[in-house]
Amino acid sequence: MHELTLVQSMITKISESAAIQGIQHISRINLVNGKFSGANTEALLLAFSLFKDIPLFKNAALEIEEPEIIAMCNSCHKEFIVEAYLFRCAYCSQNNVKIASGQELYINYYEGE
Amino acid sequence: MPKIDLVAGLLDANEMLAEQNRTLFKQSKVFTVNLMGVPGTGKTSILEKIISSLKDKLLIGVVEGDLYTTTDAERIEKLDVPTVQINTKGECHLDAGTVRKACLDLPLHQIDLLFIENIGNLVCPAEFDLGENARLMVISVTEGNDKPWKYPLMFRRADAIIVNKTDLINYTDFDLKQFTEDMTNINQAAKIFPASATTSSGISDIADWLYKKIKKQAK
Ligand SMILES: Nc1nc2c(ncn2[C@@H]2O[C@H](COP(=O)(O)OP(=O)(O)OP(=O)(O)O)[C@@H](O)[C@H]2O)c(=O)[nH]1
Ligand SMILES: [Mg+2]
Ligand SMILES: [Zn+2]
Repeated sequence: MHELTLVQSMITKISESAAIQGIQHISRINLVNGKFSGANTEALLLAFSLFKDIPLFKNAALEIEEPEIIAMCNSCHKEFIVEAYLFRCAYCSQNNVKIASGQELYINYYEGE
Repeated sequence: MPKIDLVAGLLDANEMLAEQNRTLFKQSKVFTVNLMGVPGTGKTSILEKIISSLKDKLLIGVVEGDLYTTTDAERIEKLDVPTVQINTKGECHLDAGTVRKACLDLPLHQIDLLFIENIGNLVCPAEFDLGENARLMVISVTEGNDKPWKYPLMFRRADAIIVNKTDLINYTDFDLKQFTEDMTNINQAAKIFPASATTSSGISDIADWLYKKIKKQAK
């Protein structure tokens, strides 16, 4: 359950930023968790619930977006969505492809006052 | 209500430390291998065999990651190579900072090849870059053919996969041809080495592959 470590890092980053911005209550957090980041969205939500007794996060809703895995073919150079972890070009069917996105895991924005 | 665009990665801290490790390894001219796989798949056994096979040609060092025990480090120390134990006390993966600390206890400048045996786990270690030059994964024939599809991140990020315990293959339903086909679809670039730490079959191929990579890097 390394999601706890990840959420801990999220809490630290937002707390630091909120202190600078003079924000005392966070209402919403938008997190981007690519489908190939390795972190599980359910586990992130569960881990976040453990931090709800911190006043800053008491009323915070955590929204998590899950962008698709996008790969680019090294032969025909087209981009395609990777379905079911099949790393094979959707246009020319060869397997020499590189991941363009879908591995990201970051705090996009938060709202509060 | 104010909206703050933070755009901060949750793994930023680890990535920064991994980058520092990469610089340290490069300056010290060490080739570093992150060894991963489920508990009991044979990581330490394979490591013992690779060390015996390369010991005369290279100075090898080992960082042993384990939740609580020091048994793996004790096994490796018997081979007379510098070894450091990390106990993560429950953490399911090694991270770049912990590895950095462990490296301070090793004669890094003398070492040519550093192995880091990660915690037995196919999920979490995949995400934590340690600053390594190669990711070596061990899977054994007793684990079943479905593992690449269940743990695609780990299999996608591996540079080479050792299929261990092939001495037992006739007692299992493991299908090496199917595994190779599946791996083509998940990670075409990965090398696949069928092996057995018990009979030493396939060990010299792994050792040769590593040796070539190290020589290439050193140029
Ligand atoms: N038959 C057979 N047994 C093996 C082979 N390789 C390892 N084993 C056995 O598998 C068991 C686990 O091996 P280890 O090398 O300790 O596995 P590990 O992956 O390092 O385990 P952890 O560090 O605890 O995660 C031991 O009893 C080994 O003797 C093999 O090729 N064939
Ligand atoms: Mg071991
Ligand atoms: Zn193509």
